[in-house]
Amino acid sequence: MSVPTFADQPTILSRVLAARELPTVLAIALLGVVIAIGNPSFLSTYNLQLLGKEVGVLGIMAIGEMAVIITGGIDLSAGAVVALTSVLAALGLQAGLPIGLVVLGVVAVCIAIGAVHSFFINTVGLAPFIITLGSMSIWRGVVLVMTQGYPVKITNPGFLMIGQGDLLGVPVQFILLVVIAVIAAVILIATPLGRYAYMIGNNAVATRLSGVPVSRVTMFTYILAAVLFGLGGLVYAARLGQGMPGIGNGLELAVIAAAVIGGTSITGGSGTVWGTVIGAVLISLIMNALNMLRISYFWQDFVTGLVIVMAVLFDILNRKRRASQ
Amino acid sequence: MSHGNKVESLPIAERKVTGPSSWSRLLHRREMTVAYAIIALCIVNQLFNRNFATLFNFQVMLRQIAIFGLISLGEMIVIITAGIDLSIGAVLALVGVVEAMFVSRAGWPPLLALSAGLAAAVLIGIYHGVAVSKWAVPPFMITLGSLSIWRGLATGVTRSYPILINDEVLRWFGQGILLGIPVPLIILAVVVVVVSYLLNSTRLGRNIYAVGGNIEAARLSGIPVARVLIAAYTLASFLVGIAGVILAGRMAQGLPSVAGGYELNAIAAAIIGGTSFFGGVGTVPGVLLGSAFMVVIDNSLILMHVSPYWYPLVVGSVIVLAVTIDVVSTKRRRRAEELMGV
Repeated sequence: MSVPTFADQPTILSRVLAARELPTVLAIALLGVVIAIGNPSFLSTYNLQLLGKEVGVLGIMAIGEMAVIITGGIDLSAGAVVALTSVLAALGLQAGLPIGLVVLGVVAVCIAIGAVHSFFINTVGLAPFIITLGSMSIWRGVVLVMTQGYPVKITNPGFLMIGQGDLLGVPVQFILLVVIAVIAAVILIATPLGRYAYMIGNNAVATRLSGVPVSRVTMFTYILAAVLFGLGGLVYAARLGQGMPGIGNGLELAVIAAAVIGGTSITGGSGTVWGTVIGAVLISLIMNALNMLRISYFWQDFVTGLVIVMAVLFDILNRKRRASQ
Repeated sequence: MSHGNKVESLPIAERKVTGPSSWSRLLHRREMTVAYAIIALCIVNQLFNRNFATLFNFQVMLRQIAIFGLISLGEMIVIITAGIDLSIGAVLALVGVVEAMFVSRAGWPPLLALSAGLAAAVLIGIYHGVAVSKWAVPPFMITLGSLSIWRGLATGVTRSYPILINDEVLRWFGQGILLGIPVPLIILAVVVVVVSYLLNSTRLGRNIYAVGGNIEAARLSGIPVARVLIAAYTLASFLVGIAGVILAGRMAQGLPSVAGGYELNAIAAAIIGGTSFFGGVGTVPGVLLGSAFMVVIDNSLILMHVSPYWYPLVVGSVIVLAVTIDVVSTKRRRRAEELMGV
């Protein structure tokens, strides 16, 4: 478990061959072939765009989750924050607020949520999973109380573009993912903040003793996660044309799964943006396969659960093997 | 709610919760704060709603407390080992579905179908225990995966439809009355006695507390840590399985969507009842009071005609509040111990 630096990635070729993402990429290719054989419309423009949308929104959120997991934390509030922000955006738009203000408002709410998580974890000393679990329940409740369970319609065409528009055939949310991925990768690889995040995940105590502002770094990751979940909520709201209080149930699992499949260690200290995006592709592809191969929607939770457990076990056993070498 | 101070002021020797006399210490401990809170809640309820203190409503609450009590005791056992089980709602639903499928679709005899449901719960518990102890998977991770897998399995095999249970025997476990007492309550009473005995008077019980208190020390002193953890997770799942049998009997169906979020209830009840998230601390009577507290809250929201949508908000807040109190008071106590040179 070492901090990735430029030195660890000498050439593209050696990186590809040694990459732990390789099995995931192969799995994606294999699954793609299987689905395409089972259902030729898999390769239709419509389905590929659908896939691109799914990868876009899942990837954006998974990058946030990855940042938290790298520092050795976890955020279970993804699904609830998505529901909250999608409803807030819809209510804001219904009230006639301009799009820019709605987006800013949602981001501000998410910054507050992330800061609260970080306060309870860093200052009070709660385990990350328990405060974000409580948070999940609280925000889910807030959304239901606000809407009484009813969806809130969105008619603003400009806003709907975020989830339904495309640029030369590429869905807007996929472009959004690319932009966010580049920014996140630069932060993680090329700034002290990124290096500190990996150091904290590897050994929080030693990192603190060496003078790194640990709480500020982890606070940044929890805020980043909440904001990216919030962007996910905006995208979902725009895609569905409504703020839905029940949306995103269990989404936190898909998001964690994408990060872990992409090589983010669940115990912290490692993870790459690129790997996480690949993980998001695999998860989206599996969900797409359920549709394409006409496997009942009811099996979706079962498959997500299996995938995440296998990814975690693979990660942990792999790490053990390497440690013993 | 300032249990923190009380715990701190106790002499250190008395703070061990593992002794057999935990019932007698009840009156002097933080559990009493919960009892007072319950009484206060009841009085407020009665002031606002005449339907609260009726025989019918108490029967409703007592049946509810059987299920909440069972899952909370299971959660407590796991939290004592410094673990967590997030799969409770899903396992509860799966057990009911398995039982219903075997009795109604496969035509198995009722008690065999019931055993199949319980066996499923036990296997899941063993799997959790093995994953946590042998493969070193964080408890929340493996049980979160389980939440999705077992809920998904229950939903997948039933295509999300409920499966009716027409069998008298199976319904008796949820609806029956024995000597004027609802059967679920009798089951809870038996479980309480057994679990109390197990935790307080057997080597396994002592080992469960020891592993949660300090896993390294437990390992060095020769305690078979892996086996203890597997036993704890299995026992917890088994209790959830019993709750699943009761709930399926009460509803006369295996419902794949039932008990969503019950793990949050169980965690809240366990922590309110004095179980510490740091592990090594937790008592049966405390957790029973914690479950009663959650049931009364649930009941008051219904009786006051508050939208059920408030419930997750309340449960989430209770968890955050209770865990914060636990963490702050434990930290303060540890600092005091350090000062005293313990």
